[in-house]
Amino acid sequence: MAPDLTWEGSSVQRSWLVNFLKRPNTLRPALIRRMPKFNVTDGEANVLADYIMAVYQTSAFDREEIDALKFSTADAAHGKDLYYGKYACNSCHILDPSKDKGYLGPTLTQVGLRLNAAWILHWLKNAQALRPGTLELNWNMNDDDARAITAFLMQQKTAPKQGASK
Amino acid sequence: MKRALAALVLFAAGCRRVPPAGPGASAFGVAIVDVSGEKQAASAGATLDQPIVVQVNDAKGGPVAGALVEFSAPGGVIFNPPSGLTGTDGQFTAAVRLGGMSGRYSLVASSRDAAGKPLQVTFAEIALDYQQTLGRELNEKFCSRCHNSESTAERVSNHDNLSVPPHSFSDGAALNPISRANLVAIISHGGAALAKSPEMPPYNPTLSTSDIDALVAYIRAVADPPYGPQGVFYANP
Repeated sequence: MAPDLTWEGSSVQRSWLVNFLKRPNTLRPALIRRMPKFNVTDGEANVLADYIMAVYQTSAFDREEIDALKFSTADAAHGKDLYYGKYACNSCHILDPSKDKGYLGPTLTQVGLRLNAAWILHWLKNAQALRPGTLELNWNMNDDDARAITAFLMQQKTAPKQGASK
Repeated sequence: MKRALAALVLFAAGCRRVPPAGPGASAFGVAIVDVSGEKQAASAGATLDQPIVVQVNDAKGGPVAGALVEFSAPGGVIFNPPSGLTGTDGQFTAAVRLGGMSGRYSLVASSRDAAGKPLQVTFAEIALDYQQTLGRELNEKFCSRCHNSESTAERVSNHDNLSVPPHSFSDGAALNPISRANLVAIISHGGAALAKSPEMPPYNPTLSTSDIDALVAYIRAVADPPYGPQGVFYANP
């Protein structure tokens, strides 16, 4: 019913996780079931986040192996071309709500605040290895393409609209 | 006296097993039409997801209650119930278990008009073999979210969000002319590889070769119009 959290600690940024635990919003427009709001305190959210970040880690890679700050604007521009062109990610993901329509996968408007760069890179290369059976394909993506799209996605930091999270 | 009564009871019980038009039917229509349940696919020997529903109509097209409807089909198809009277809505519903052989089944629902003339409507249903059933499961997981425009509570369709609407797998008019090799190539390498929509992603290596073969087998099995041999093709006719 709920997403697989086996490697959640390798996937998300701690600050996003704390916020999500306090105010769960929906990442997947097509999903009908929603995470309930548990009204956790700041202290509880931090303890939960510490636990998830420390324990739910994959040994496949180090979540800090890529420094997103080192990506160039050219990397990100190339990634945008690949995102909308070669890989047509917009068929399933909404990144720009004003024109993207696909809603099978999670919304990526603020994915740069949610996931870390290493997770995105490895996810693009072979998501099936990280979460077997997930809807995301094993793109078998080459390093250059995966790096460029990661650079583009790490730029996506649009804050959610007021009242949009429910 | 007792013996005579017993004989009468036995006789009456025997009578009920004689199916044709007469006994049971309290009304007669002039036409029988299909309401729902046509062109479903299920594994050979399995029960169709939806029952088949027929309606008996009078000369004005209105429903006729109390008309006798009987189902028949070849090859071990089981109807539950196999016959009965239409309800107040003029309809009669039966669950269908397909026969053990894969392929297309033609089911017949029949009734009679007041003069005893037979009325019939046929249903085509599809029994899938093992490979086609695997293809159907893969379709449910990976393909139907875009290729099926219908949404369910569990699966919201992405069909209408795409700039080029994906073909339904039963769209035989569009898919039958595409060769097996090209279908395999589109699924494996994505739409762009064959100058189709790049929104169709490459499923190699997410799906194995045998998975993709199963999907093609399923697509061919549910094609409407049916996929069939195209005849002999001569390079220089």
